[in-house]
Amino acid sequence: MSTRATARTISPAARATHAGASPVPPRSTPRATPVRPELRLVPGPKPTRSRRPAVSVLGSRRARLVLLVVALLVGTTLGLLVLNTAIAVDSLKATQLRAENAERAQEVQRLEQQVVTAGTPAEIARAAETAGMVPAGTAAYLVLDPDGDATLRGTPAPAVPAAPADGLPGSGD
Amino acid sequence: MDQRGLRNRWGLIIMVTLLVLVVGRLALLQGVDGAEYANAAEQDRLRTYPIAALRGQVLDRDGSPFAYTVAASRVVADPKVVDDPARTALALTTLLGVPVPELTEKLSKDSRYVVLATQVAPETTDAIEALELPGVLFEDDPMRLYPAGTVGGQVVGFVGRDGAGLAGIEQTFQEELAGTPGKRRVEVGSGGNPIPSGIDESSPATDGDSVNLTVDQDLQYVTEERLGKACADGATTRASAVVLDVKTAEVVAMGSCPGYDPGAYSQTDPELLGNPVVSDVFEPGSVMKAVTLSAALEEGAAKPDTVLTVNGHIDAGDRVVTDAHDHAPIEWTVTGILAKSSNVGTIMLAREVGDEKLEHYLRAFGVGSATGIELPGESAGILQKSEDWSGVRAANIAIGQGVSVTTLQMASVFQTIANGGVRVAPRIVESVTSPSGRVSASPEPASERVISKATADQMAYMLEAVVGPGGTAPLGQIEGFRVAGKTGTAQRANPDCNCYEGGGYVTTFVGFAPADDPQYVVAVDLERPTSSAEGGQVAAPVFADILRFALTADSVVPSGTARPEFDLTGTP
Repeated sequence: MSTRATARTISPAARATHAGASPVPPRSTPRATPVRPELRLVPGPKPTRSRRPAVSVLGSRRARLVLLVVALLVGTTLGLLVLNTAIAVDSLKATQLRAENAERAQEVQRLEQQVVTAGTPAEIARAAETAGMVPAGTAAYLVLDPDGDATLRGTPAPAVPAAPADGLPGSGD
Repeated sequence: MDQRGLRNRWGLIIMVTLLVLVVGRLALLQGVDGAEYANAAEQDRLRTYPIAALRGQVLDRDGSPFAYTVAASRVVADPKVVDDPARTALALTTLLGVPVPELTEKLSKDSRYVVLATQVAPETTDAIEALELPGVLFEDDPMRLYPAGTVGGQVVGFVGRDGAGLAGIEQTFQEELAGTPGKRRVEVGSGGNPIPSGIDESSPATDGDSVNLTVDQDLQYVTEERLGKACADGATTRASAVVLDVKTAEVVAMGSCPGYDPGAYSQTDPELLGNPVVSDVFEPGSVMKAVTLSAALEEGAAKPDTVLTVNGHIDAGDRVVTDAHDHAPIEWTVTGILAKSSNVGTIMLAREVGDEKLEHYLRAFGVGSATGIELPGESAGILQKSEDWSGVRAANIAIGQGVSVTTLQMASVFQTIANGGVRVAPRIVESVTSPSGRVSASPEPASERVISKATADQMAYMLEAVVGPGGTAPLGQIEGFRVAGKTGTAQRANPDCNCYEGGGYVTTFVGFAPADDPQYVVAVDLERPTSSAEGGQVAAPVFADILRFALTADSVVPSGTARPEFDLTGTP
């Protein structure tokens, strides 16, 4: 950048006034004031190539630094955003799975309860009676000897059929 | 220095002083006291919650559950947050089964916490959650289930509101079943929600151990069904039965009617919440003749075929004791005396043994002391010291009056005889299983020889005659098997007059089968205040039905040998 030097001359009278001294009366002689140099425009020195790189390196180094910092900031922010989103998604999935687990556990508990209740002797007796079965009497056993003879032990007796239910059509009384 | 400079300087001094003060305060707060404040804040946020331990199960000998715990919830409400008590009550009434006025009243209370319903099933809480009613919350309230209902109820017992066992096995094994609760320390924010990145430490709960009983749930069911039939016969007010394994004295079934359902204990008459088999005592009557005759045989005072001339009555102190029916003198063998249940014959034999020795045998058979079974409230029964026996008391004790026993003690006497003379202490718990699956078996029960094997075999022989022809209990027979047992028809003390008049009877039958290789002992007693029916008629059939099932279910093969011919009379 070329600077233009601006020449400024101050008249001695003004100068004197500036300095704060008592004003000097203006000369009455026609002798002219000292000749003011003529001012004319001169072209400034042409900017040399050697200076430009120095200036632009400085500029781009700073520019790069700023770019780097901005990039880091943006990158970190974006990274945090991505991480947080991922955490949120996983956390949601975890909650969902936990809820599903709890539901399944409940279902298992309900089914286990069903199995246990159906296995109690009272329930089995009820189911057997509904199916038309009767409790067995004393068992008799056929004991096999080593040589194949079978001995009857105990007194076998046929099971007594259940009394027919009242109200069946054609059941007599 | 000019004015400006001075103002500047003062301004600077004031600003620096202020700055120093602020920085100093900051340093104090953050640096010196910082840790303290941070700590206090953390303590304020930290809450400790207990983690409930799952209560252990009570299982039968095959692993069928008698008692187990399931997750359930308590429905509570914060009335200040509830926006419309009437509408909320209407929405909840069918789900909770609580009437609308009660719910509305609770929801309008001036409180921050009311309980609307306890032990609500998970399906119901899901339905309530779906309604999204403000102010309605849930808390853990695990529910104890007794799937077998009244079957085994008196043995298993029940738990109270706070989850502690109040009767039966639930009580005696409270510590093992309860486990140890854990705790969770967590930082909570406002509203009580845990802060996700804050402290969250927990020490897990140790779930309770499971108790494995020696009881067989199927035999227990059959026993209680049969007792229930007896209780419904119009004259029986209470009937108890216990089944013991002969060799191990394990209780395979133990029940009494009327029983109760542990799941509904709060709706049951408190008088019925005990276990009469171990806590109720009664005078056993003639079943105790087995002890008197065992003593006589063991002491060599007689043999099964020794013949005595037995009168119909005998003097005892200042009283006269007669047989069930007075009769002219009969030449009975000792077997006959037992088979006919002759009081006079028994007293004659008791006198051969002597009071002191008889007391010794009674105590050796377990009369007068608790068996030590793992159930609460066991009674030791009553047996006076022989020095205190008056003439009539000695005679009474020989025939089973004037002494008190429990059903379990009676069974134990016959377990001794059936087990070749070795008494094993009865027990009902086989083992305890930890949540990790480690099984700790109960310690081996104490065993003691009371009579010799020879005496025990002779007793088993004579007891078979009781159910044979000429005996007092043909109804105690089981087709295909040889059965041994003894009847009892004891007078029951009348609580109104403290005498025997009008008290009715306690009819008993205790026995075992197969007589030649005993597997199970069954003891049955029926309390019949208004009836004079004999043990052979009412107790023996109950005994036979229970024992028949026990033998069949366990596939006990009869020996096939015939009952011997008994000589009930002879020539002295």
